[in-house]
Amino acid sequence: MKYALRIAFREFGEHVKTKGFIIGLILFPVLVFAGFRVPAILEQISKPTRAFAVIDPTGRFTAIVDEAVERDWQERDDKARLVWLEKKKADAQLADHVPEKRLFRRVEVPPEAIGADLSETIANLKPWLTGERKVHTDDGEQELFALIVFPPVAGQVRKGVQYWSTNLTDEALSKLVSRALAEDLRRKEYTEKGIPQAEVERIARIDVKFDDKDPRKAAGEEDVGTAEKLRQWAPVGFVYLMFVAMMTVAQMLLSSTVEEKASRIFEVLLSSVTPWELMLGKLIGVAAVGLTMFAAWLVSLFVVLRFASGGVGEVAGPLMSLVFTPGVLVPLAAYFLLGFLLYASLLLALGSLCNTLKEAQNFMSPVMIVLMIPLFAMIFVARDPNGVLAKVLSWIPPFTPFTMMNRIAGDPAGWEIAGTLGLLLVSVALMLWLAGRIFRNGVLRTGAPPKIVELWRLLRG
Amino acid sequence: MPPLDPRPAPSMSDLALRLEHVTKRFDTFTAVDDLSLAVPFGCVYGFLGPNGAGKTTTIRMSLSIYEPTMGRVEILGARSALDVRAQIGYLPEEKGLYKKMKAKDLIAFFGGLRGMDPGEARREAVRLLERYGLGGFTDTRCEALSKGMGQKVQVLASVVHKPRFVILDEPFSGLDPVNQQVLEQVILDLRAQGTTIVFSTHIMEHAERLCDRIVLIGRGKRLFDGTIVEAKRSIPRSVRLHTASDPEPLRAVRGVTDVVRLEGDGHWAIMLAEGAQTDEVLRACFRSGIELSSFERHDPSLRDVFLKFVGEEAAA
Repeated sequence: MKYALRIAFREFGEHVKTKGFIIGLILFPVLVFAGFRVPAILEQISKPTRAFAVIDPTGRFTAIVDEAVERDWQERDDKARLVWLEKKKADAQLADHVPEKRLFRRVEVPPEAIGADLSETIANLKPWLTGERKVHTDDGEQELFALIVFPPVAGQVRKGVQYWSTNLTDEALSKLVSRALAEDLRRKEYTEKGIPQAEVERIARIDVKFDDKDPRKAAGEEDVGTAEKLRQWAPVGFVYLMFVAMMTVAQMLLSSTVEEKASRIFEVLLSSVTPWELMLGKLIGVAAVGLTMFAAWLVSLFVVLRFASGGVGEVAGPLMSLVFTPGVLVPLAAYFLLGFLLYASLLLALGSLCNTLKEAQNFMSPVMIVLMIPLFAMIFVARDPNGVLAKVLSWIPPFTPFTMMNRIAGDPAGWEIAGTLGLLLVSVALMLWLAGRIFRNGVLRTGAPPKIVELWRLLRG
Repeated sequence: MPPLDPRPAPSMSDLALRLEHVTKRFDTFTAVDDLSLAVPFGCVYGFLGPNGAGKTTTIRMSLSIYEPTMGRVEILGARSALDVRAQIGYLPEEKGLYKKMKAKDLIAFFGGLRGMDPGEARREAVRLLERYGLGGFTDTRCEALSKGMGQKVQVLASVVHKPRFVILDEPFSGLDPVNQQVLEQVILDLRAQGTTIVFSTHIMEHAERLCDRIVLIGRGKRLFDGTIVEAKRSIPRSVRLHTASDPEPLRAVRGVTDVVRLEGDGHWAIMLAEGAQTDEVLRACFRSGIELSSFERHDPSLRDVFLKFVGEEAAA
């Protein structure tokens, strides 16, 4: 074992010192952080308060638009202020709340654009809408983002509002205004029918809510919360991480095995250690690399989530605490480790048969296809963790780790966990044994990779 | 087949390596065929033979890298080389290094695999690199070393743990004359320390200079096993002469076994039986009126021995 560890130590050192590994370690938290924060930051930076104009011949709708825009800003600012207040409680030194940026600001139609009639005014405004001319705002010169044109007759508002903009994919303003208008129309209609304002508000709030209950839970505790519903999706993250870890490690295992084989280092190694010690050392070394990466990613994920404000952070907290319970974590770790060993030993055996990376990659293709199957099935398994597909895949050893990790939050029966773990354990032992035989005979083999018949001979010999 | 070593077989404790009727087959191909060997402690032992003779396979079996199909291997008194790995050093024929490792780390790593303490291995690695002229390259990555330097590093990696028994498979192949000399020095240093050395080669000059004993292998079989002197004695001495006369009358001289015409006009080899005197041949030349333009005693070289045995084997 001492010698296996020395091999493992060298293997670990060789991989963690590579630039690729270090860049990967740093890049992941950066990407996670970017994933959480950059869209918000970009929104802050790239989306200036957009100017829009309104042509309202009846003069009845401008106030509704103004109020809707103001209320939208107010709601967002209130939400941000609440988050700030929470933080302020923990940290008295926290700087004052910075009011949220306004997304939209109404500007008057430039006087020089006003024409004899409506259509002429619209035509005159086109240079402002296309950015050829700018409007004056508090933020300086600006393009006119949108023009809302109300019909000359108030009664035509339901079908006669025009929304002019060169950016019709950003629907934030049009939706905001149309919602406000619809609400106003509905309110007026109710009032005309003689229903009092307060009653209208009450009716508008009527909503049907379902109480989700889980019959498997103890009496009185059958309620299921949102976080708990999300829980069955959380392991999907682990399946992805395992997949990424497998891909990275597979590459390392193959390249290092092929390098050692091509440069004939194996021969010296095999005069010092048994093939079994050599294989075990390589597995341990590469596993340690994988685990280091995995741990570093988890830590950075935790750190980012800890400091990420807003929706993601709030959901992730309870979600992580649900996953990090022994009942979930222990089987997760067991499936992860066994799955890793199953595939890593297979790849090591394949690597030992190849003299070049190109040959090795030919062998990799079928392995990749097998790895893809549980990945494709993941959505269906997460949706119905105890369905037929999930159950069948669970008992096929190459798919067991992925499928069971995916199902673990769906509380599969204890015998299923024990049974699939047992089967996986036997498969791993068998695979290690087979890989050991191939490895022993393969590492000193020269020439093209073996055909099936020869492979069989290697297994026997 | 030449007579085997007539001395009594050494006792087990005197042997660094012993192979008894060892055979190795790969499918239908027999790489080593019923080979028996005994390498005593403290000697430099040469494995000689043409390419494909089975030298490397024999070495791999000695080191437990291959299991023999039949027969028994005993190295330093153990059935498996791995049981005595701390006492064995090995340099394979095809030399490879971890490209990204520093020279001193690589030597220390292999020392570690032979049971050395990591710190001690690193100190010894630096000492060896300095001793053999690579002091400035201790922290150089192997990929940046020249081929010769890389080979030197690998030789040092195989002896860093001060083994009692070193096996070198074609250690001189690919080395320039200067580095060949350095390697010879390494081997002589090891011998001076009492290390038993086995090395395979098909360059007879090295074997002749360094070996105490040799084994000649051809097609997996032992063709000769003994000291260099015995090897040379196994083929007849001769006299080479150049003459315009007919040397046939020399056949009548006592101790002359054959008169052979060599390539080139007037060149002859007069083959002598063991114990025959060359001055007798010279006197006979004068007596018979054979006019000599050159007369030279020819002692067989190891190369002659090699060609004789390998040629006989090939002819068979």
